[in-house]
Amino acid sequence: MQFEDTVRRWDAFELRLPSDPDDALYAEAGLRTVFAKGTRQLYADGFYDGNGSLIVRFMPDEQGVWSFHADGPSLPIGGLKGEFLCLPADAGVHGPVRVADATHFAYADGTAFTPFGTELSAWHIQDDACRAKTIHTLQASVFNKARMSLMPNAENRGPGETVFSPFAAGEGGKLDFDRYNPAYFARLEECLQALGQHGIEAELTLFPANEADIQLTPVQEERYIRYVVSRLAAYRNVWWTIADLGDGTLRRDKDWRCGCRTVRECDYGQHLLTVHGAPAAYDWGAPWLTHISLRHEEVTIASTFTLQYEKPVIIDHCGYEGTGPGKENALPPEELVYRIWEGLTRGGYVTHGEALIGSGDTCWSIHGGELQGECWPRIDYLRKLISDAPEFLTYNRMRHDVSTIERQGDYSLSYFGAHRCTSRLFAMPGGEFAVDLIDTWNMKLERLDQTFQERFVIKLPGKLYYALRLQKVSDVPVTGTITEQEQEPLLAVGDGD
Amino acid sequence: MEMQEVERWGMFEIALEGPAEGNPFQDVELSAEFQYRNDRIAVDGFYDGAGIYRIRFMPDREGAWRFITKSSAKELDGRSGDFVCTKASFENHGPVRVRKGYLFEYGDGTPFLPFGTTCYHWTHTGDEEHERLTIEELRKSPFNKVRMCLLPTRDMRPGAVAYEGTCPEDADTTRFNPAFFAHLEKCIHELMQIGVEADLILFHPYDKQGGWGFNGLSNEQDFFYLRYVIARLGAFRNVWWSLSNEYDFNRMKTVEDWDRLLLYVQRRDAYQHLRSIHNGTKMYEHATVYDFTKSWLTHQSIQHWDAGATTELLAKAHKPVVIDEISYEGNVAKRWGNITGLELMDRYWEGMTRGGFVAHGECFENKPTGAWISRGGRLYGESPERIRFLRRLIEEGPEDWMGAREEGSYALIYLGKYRFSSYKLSMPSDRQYQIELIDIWNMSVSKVTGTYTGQSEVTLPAQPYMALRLQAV
Repeated sequence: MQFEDTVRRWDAFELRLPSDPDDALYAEAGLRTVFAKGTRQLYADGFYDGNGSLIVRFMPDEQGVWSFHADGPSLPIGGLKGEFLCLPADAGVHGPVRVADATHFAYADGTAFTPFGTELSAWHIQDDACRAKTIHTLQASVFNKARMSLMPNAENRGPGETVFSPFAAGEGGKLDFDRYNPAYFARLEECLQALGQHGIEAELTLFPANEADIQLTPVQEERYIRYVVSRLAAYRNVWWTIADLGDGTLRRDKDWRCGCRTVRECDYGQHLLTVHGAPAAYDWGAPWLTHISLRHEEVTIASTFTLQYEKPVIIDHCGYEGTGPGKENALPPEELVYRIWEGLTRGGYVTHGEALIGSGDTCWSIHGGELQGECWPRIDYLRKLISDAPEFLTYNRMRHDVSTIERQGDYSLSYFGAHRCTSRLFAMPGGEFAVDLIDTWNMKLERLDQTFQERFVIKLPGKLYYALRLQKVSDVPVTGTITEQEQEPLLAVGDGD
Repeated sequence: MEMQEVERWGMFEIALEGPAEGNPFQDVELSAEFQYRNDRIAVDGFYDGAGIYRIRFMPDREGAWRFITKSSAKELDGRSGDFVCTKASFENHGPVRVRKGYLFEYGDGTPFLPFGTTCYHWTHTGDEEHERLTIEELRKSPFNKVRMCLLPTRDMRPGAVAYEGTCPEDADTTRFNPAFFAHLEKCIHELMQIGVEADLILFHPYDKQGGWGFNGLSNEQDFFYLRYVIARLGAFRNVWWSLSNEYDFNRMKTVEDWDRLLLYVQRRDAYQHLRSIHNGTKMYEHATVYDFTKSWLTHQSIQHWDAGATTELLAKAHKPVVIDEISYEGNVAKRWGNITGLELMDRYWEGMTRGGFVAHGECFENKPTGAWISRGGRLYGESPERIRFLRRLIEEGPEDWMGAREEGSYALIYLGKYRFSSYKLSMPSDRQYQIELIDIWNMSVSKVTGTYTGQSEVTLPAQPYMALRLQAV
C-alpha cells in the first residue's frame, strides 16, 4: 500500500495497491474505503488502472488528520488502515465550486465564482501540440469553465490519435463496454490538471447527446458512472453533467434519477451535478440537480427559471459564433455577445462557443486550439467589469424593461441590448452615484463627469448594445424629498415602462 | 447496542424532546441530513405537541444510513445516529413514479396501473366504525388509489382539523393539531397495508365565505402548512400530492399562486412523490386544463367527461393521463354525479384503450352509509365489478399495452356504443392473430373461431359495449 502521508486541502489523496492483472477488475475493483475525520465519514470506491494497479482517490476538504479504512475482496481480511495529514490549501486554491446564495456559485472557501464558460467538447483527444495550444489560448482568455464530453465523438479526434474513448478497444477495434482505457483517463487527468492550474473548471458530460455507437446496458451504465466518478472526483475543478439531452426529443423517457443517484453516492467531492437539455427536456426542480444547464436560444429565460426553481441557471448552449452549418453554428458575434450580456444581467450565466473553422479544418468548440472569433475579447471585457463589481449581484425583478443586476442601494449594471434608449430615469436615494456609460461591443467606458443623487435622468446615445453602471461613491443624507420611492430605492422609471 | 433496522421504503422515525413554550410550530426550525455513502438527503422535522419533535425518513436504498440533525433549538441540534435499511418486505414495492412518459411503476420497477376512486372526507367523519367499513370495502374493491382531502369544507365541523381549533371562530392557522394528523396517518397507513395509494388533496375550493377560510390564505401561510404536511406525511411511500381539487373554482388564487405552491412542494419533498393538480370548470370546455407541460407536474390529473380527450392530452404533454373525475355513477341532482354504471364503464374502456387511466366515483342518495365520494362507507353501484374485470384484462395483457399495439403483438380495441355486425381489422400480414370478443358489461370473453392476419373482417353480434382483444400467436 502506497500513499503520501500529507496532502493539501482540496488536493488529491491517492492510495495505490498492487494486484494481479485482471481485466475483470475494471467492472468491479472490489475495494471500498471509508475516510473519516471526527464524526464525518466519506466513501471512495477503488478503481482499476490496468497493469495490476488498484487506486483509491479522495479529496480532503478539511485540514487535520484523516483516517481511512480500505476493505473488500481485493484486500486481505480486515482490510487496510492508515492516516494522513491534510495541510492548508495552497495559495490561490479555493476548493470545488458550490451553489451559493440560491442562484449563484462560490468556491468552497466562500469566494464568489461567476461562470464564463466555453464549449471545448473534444479538445482532450487532440495531439500534444493542439492541446498545448488550447491551454495557451485559455491562459490568455477569460474563460473559467470548459465543457468537455467524456465520450467524445470519435470522428472529432486528432489525426492519428488512438486514445479517444473511455472504453478499451476489443475485438476488431469495437469498443468493449466492460473494460476501460487507462490511457484515455491518464490523458484526461492531465487535461483536468492543466485546466485546474489556470483556474478553469472542467464540466464533464458523462453521456453524450448522440450515442448511436454507444449502447450500454443498465449495468454497464452504472459501472461506467462509478468508475468515472471514483476516479475523477478527486479533481476539485470537476463538475458533472450526467447527460446531454440534445434538443429535447432524445431519450426523454429515460429517468436520469438513477444515474444521478449513483454519481451522488460515489462522489466524495460533492461536486456540482446537472443534466443538459432544452427547457422542457427535464424536471429541473428535482432535488438531485444542483443547478440548471440549458440548451436554449432565448437567454431571457434565465430570470424566469431562477425565480421558479431557485437554482443557478447556466445557458450552456445558446448557439455558437460561426457561419454554419445549421442555425446553432451561425451566430454573428454581436448576437452571441448580446446573449451573454443579456443572460448575465438577467441573473443567469451564458456559455460561449465558437464554430468558426480555422486552420486544419478544426474549430475551437470541438478541437480547441486557437480562438478565431470576435466574441471572446468582449467576454473578457465583461468579466473584468464583473470582477470589479460587488459579489452575488441580484437580478432586479422590478426593472424588467432593462435587464439589471445590482447590489441594492450601492451598485447596478443595466444592459439595454437591442433597445436604443435615449435616456433613463433613476431614483437613488441615500447616496451619491458615479455613472458609467458602457459601449459593450466597442469595449469603451465613459465616466460621466458629474455625480448624481436622488432623482436623475441619464442621457444615452441611442445606440445598440449599451450598458449603464451606477456605483455609489459616498453616502449623502436623505433629504426626504422623494418619499414615494423609499420603498424601492433602486426603482428606475424606465422609458415607457 | 443493536443497530436499528428499517425496511427499504419503510419509515425511520426519531423523537426528540425540545422546547414546548411559545409557538414551537413557528419558532423552532428542525431538519436532518441523512447520508447513504456520499449521497445526502435533507428532510424537515416537525413539532408533534407536548414538547416532542419528530423527524421521519423513508430510505430508498439498502445498507447503512447515518443522520445528523440541525435546529435553531440547542437541544435538538447536532443529534446524530444511524440505522440499517433492509430489503423491502413482501408487497412493499416502494413509491409510485412515472414510467415512459405515460405509464406508472413502483420504485422496484413493478408496473402500477392506477384504478382510482374518490372518498374526499372519509377520514373526517369522526366515526371509527365507518372508517373500518371504508377500509374493508376498499380492500375488497378493485381500487388501488383513493383521492382524499386534508382540509374541511365550509359547513363541516369535524371534531378536529389540520389546524388548532374546532370551528372557524377559534381556528388558529399558526398552529397545527397533532392529534388530527396522527389520525390521518393511521388512515394512510391502513391504506398502505391494503395496497392503496393515498392521493392527498392539499387544498380545495369548497371553503367559501363564512367558512374556515383555509383556501384564502397567503402564499407564506400556505408554505407553512405545506411544509408541516410534507414533514409529517412525505415518508409514507403511498402518498401522492394533489395540490388542489378544482383549483380554478378558487377565486382567491391565481395560476401563478398554484405554480409557486407546486414548486414549493417539489422543493420540500425529498422523495419527489407524484405531484399534480385537478381542474374544475374547464371540464365543460373541451380540453382546456392546467398546463401540464410545466416541469413540476408529474402527471395529468384531469376532470373531463370525454375519455376521448385522452389522446389529445397525451400528445400535448408527455405525461400520464389520469381522468380522476369523468362523472360519477349515481343519482344526485348535479350533472357530475348521476351517470349509470354502464355509461361509466363505456368511458373507462374508451380512456384505457387510448392509453389513459380513468377513475371511479359513486354518489347515491338515500343509501345508509351516505355518498361514497364524500365519506366512503359502502359501494352500491354496478361499475366496481366491471372495473375489476377490466383491471384483470389489462393486467393479463402486456405491461405497455399501447406500445404492444403499436408494435403489433397485442391490441385491445373498444367498439363503444356502436353496433357492428362485422368489423374490419388491419393487422400485420407476417403474423397470425387470435381474436377474442369481450362483452364489457356482462364480463365475458369468447374466442372468435380461427386465426386472422392482414386485412380481415370478423363477424360480430351487432351489440354495443363490445371490445376485441387481438393477440399474436
